[in-house]
Amino acid sequence: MTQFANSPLRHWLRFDVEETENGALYSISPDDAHIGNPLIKALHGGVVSTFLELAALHELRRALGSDPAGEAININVDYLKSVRLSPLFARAHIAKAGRRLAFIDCIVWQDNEDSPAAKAACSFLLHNRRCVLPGARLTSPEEAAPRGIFRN
Amino acid sequence: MSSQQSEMSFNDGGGMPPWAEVMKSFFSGDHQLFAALRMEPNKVDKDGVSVFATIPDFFAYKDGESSAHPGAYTIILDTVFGFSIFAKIQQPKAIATINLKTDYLRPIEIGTKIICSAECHDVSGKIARTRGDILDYDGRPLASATGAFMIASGGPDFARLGKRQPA
Repeated sequence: MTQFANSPLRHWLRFDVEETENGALYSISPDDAHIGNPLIKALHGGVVSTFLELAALHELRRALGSDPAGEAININVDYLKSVRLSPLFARAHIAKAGRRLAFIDCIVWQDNEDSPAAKAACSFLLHNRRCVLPGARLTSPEEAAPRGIFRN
Repeated sequence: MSSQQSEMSFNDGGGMPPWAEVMKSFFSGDHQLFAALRMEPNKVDKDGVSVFATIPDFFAYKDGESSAHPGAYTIILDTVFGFSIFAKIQQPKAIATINLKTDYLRPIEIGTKIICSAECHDVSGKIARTRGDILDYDGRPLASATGAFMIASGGPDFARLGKRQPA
């Protein structure tokens, strides 16, 4: 997390994370550098996709309590409405996290969380991960002793 | 007019139609995001579009590391998919991405020059479907994607951009 905190990508997007009672709330504050359609000043779809994937990755990191070693496999984004040049918010939900694969769903919105602007399904390949997530199959005594945010 | 623009190959059968003018305006340097990605058209015709791009520094995901976040792929693919629709329908209609599925095949480093090729392989009514990929200079596939777009999505036509005079 420390490396990402100072990363160029975080600064470019002005990505932020806030812990709320409903979980982590992710946000970006776009400007002219993120416009896709200059006629209506709409955010570029690829920027929205990048934000969704960052939120998914951070949700996974938050659940694991450490940087996950792995890589993104793919992302499937549905664009539900045009995204204006104003702050964008996201929440992510871990649909399944196994020892090798993790599937994370995200939504983004601007004015109202109940009216999402886009949603995404992201999948990640995990390397050498010990199982610490609820619902995952435990395969060793070490994995049976959860760490991170799931530690009792 | 930049040297990049003068070298562009718009295979439209003669003249410079409005849709081609729109694409030229996007590559003129006025569009901040496309300028940052140093997007340069390589081929533009009905059968497909290919564009060179360079992964910018700000896509470094971790401080002090050279690996880029794969979100750069989605920005490039979404953009070139849009251009492939303009080239297919030969009109600068307003378009909107409905969905985009991107497979990440290999990681990429900051500063790498890539080529993105895309085609609009089907237009049915107001729905256009596209597919494309990104290769590195050695021809290795880095990402592939498919997309669906709404044509005449309700926004202003991009023809307005082509009519703008350079600053």
